Amino acid sequence: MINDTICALATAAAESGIGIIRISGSEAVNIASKFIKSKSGKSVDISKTHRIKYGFVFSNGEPLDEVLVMTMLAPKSFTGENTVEIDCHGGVLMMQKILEVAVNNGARLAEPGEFTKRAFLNGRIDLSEAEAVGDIINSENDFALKASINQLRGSVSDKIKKFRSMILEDDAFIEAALDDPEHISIDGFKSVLEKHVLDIISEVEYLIASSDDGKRLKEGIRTVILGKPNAGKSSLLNILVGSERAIVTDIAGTTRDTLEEHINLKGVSLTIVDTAGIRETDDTVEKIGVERALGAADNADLIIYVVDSSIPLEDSDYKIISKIQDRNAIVLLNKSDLNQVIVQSELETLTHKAVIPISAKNNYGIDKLETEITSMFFSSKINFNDQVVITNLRHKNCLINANNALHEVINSIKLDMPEDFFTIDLMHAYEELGYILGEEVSEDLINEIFSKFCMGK
Amino acid sequence: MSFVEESYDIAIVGAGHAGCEAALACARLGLETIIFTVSVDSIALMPCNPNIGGSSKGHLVRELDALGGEMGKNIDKTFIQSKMLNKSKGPAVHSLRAQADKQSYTREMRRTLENQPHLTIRQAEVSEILTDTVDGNPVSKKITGVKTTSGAIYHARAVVLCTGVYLNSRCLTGDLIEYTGPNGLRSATHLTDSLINNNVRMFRFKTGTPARVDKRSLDFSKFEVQKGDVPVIPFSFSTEFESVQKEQVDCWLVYTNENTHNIIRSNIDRSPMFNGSIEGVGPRYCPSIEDKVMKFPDKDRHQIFIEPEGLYTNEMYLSGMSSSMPEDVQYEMYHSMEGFENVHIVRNAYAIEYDCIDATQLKSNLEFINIEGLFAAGQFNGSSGYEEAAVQGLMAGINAAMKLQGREPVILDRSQAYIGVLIDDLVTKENFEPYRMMTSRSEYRLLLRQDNSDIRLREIGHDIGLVSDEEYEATCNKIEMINKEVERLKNTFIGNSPQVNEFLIQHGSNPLNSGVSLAELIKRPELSYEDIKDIDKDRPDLPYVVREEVGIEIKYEGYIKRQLIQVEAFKKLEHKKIPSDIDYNNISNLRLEARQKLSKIKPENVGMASRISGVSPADISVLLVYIESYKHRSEK
Repeated sequence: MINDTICALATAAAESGIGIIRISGSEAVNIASKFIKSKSGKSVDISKTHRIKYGFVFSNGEPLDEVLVMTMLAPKSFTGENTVEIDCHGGVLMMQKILEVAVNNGARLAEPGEFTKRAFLNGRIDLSEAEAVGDIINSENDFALKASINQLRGSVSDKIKKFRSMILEDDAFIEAALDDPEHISIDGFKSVLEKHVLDIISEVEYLIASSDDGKRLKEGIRTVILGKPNAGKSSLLNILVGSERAIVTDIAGTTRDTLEEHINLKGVSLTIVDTAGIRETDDTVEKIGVERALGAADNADLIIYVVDSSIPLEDSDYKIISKIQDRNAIVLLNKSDLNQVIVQSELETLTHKAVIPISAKNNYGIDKLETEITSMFFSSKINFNDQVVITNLRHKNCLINANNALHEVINSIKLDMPEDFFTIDLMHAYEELGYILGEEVSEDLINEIFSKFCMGK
Repeated sequence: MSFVEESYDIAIVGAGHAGCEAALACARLGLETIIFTVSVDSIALMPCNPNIGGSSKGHLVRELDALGGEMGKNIDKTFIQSKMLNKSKGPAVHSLRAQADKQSYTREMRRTLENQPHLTIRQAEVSEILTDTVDGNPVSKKITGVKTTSGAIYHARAVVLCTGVYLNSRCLTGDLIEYTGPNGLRSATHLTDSLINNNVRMFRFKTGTPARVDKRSLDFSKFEVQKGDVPVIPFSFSTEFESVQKEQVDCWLVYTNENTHNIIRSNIDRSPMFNGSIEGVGPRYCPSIEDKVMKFPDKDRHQIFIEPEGLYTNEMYLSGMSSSMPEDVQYEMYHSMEGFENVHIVRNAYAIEYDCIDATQLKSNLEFINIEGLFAAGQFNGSSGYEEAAVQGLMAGINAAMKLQGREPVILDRSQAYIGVLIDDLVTKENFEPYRMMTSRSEYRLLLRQDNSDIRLREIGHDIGLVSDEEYEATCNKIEMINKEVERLKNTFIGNSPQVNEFLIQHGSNPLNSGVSLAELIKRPELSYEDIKDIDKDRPDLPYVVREEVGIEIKYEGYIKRQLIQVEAFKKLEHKKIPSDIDYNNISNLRLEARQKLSKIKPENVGMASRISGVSPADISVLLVYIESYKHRSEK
């Protein structure tokens, strides 16, 4: 665990020209050799230190990307371990795929701050920096936890919670019966368990398959547009995207669901989410839209709040203003072409955010918005951290591990093994699913046994 | 008044199941040992259930025996019925349980103690532990002996506390409260204060026991009989198989009914458990009948086992029916069961409360972190059960002896023994109820089977000096026979002859197309080592214990290998020692909660630290970095 071979992105996961994947550990060269080949699939010798080799990353027998590979043998590397760095073509999706290939060939995804930790443990970083190393571990871990939770859609985490509670209940039943065989019988439980496990397997496999599309990764900075109905949110989206994606009408409440578009703003990747206008509404469908809008804002990296400057602020505006407190947000004073009811400076005092007057209709002020967003990005106020890629892959790995463990349970049932053999793999699956939610196992099982089953003398 | 009386190497306080093992281990290792008890007649008393072993507890006894403890030998001498539980399940959860003749059990253990060289038995209540400060350090102390209520002082270089449920104990039967230990024995009312004065953190726990009834007043035609196993498997690896094949007594099964439950429900406000007069925390796994009725209202009946307390008594123990209800409710409740219409209660059920310690104050060798030479074991550490107590007593005794002899402590880890799991849980996890062993607490239970306890631990027991050369050689021979036979089965190939295929079809197995090893055949779900005897011409004649092991090792090879890989990973963190003088407040990157927990529990290695609730994987990384820089700094 401490000395195994790890991998991660060495450059930021962004839509850049070149990305670097780093593999570090005693097996780094062996692992990389398994998937770095010549175009025709012949092996490439990457064993010499401090040499750059040209080759292709192979996945399932197919070349995936054209790369340069640099090997640095211990101790002359950043971590002080054998290290292989792969320069690949940039792009979040490609980098994730190559990372996945490395994992499939035996590397483990690095923990937060693990490269730095290893560099330190191997004496490559000065002792006086021990404190800083701790800080890196901590901050990266905080971010990873946050990223992990943010990236889990509510429906997915609900599902995983459901699988876990099913597994725990079945496992506790078996354990209770093993512990108190004279009071609790598990005769005939195998077929019940088999059905439960197969149900979970089919759902887990669906999740694994759907995690493959890489959709979330293409997105970049998640930017949500909020505002009252007819404030001009959809027009703004259309300008930014450069197409008539959202239906724009004068009828308030036209956008009833959230729309997502991916754009590249002067080198910064954004996913723009247009939402239904925020107001009190009796229209059921629109109501759902409003809820989604507020929900989307919770998960946003950046909020763009569009205000109709031609009408006074209302309750729903104040609702939004309180929502954007403590968040990265830009306020747009739209319809500057019409009669102004709201003053820019007042709105600045009220929101404590940058307020930019625009006219979506006349394409006025959009350049200022673009400058504001890019400067926020480059001053690191908002960012798209590589933890997003890592987290995605980590989640997928956990699902795969859980799925394998569940298949082992089915296998044991088929082999007619006694019930106590199932529990090892059941708890393994439970643990893997728990990592996705960031939960510890510790006393769950014992508590479940005591709360559900009447034990003992 | 105080006066100097005697000096010993080691003083053991308490002569229950923990104290007896501790005393025997120390004396057998050649140390002058004195054991204190409030009643010599109650040495190794079984004040609750009349049995030894049971699921996972049977494992503990066999492990204790492999290390050179006494409990297994003693129950083999005094059992009156024996059963292997979970026989239909996998080998990892098979567990021995024997009914004891309680009086014989006590008498035999007392005889063993009385005849043990270097061991002195003393009836007295220990009222104080005597300590010295160490080098002017305000926190650390050193044990120097104990003082009894009479004022007598016994100097000792090490002390093992095994006070069981006797510290400030009180027994509750409804609103009747008696300030005694179990069975009306006197409680020890001074020692808690002395411990608190030495900065020991105390807890208050509770447990309970059912009523005992007169056999002659029961209608046995209404009960289901429960027979013992034939043949009987002995607990001890040193017991001759033939010596335990004897006539056994029966146990019986009866059920509570709706009427019993109604009586309990309508009187629930009179139960001290429910009306708040009990302060101690009780175990969830050993609930009173009122607990079970209230907590599981859907169950319309609960099983009650009727077990004899011995061969020479008519008293019967009602397993599953412990209670702290007032006497009149108990009377009604017990009479409500079928076959109990005319029951005579001999002793009431009662709950008992007692003082024990927060065991996270101990190190893995069961010595107090802050009081050198003071060891602790058994219910005093917050565990429950005779077996849990005995193994801790053994380990505390061994480690006290190791310390005085200047030898390395004996610490079993979680991959070596249930004993390791038990002690690790006690000293690293905050435990708020009496702790009972369960197989689900063991991560590597496929490796920690009762059948291979000797293979796992005999050598350690021999190195310690509690296992004789003869006993050790027997285990070595067993291991050699197993290895040889497993090798042979893996390297013996069998062809697809008509006889072989006919045999396979007969056993519901697919016929062979080409040759396979015998080991491969054994792995088939429908076949076993014993099954394929007829097509295994060169099979040597091997003892049962060897055949059993061979079958398990081959049949479950894949699973065992997987657990061994897990153990590898586990050992890595376990081997990272944490310096004992580490100050967690200096590690600013640790989250506050982790800092507080680590400072309180003071784990000895990183593995232990990782098992403390509230310590995250990131905290562990930070800790590893700190330890490394700490090492470099102290090298300079």
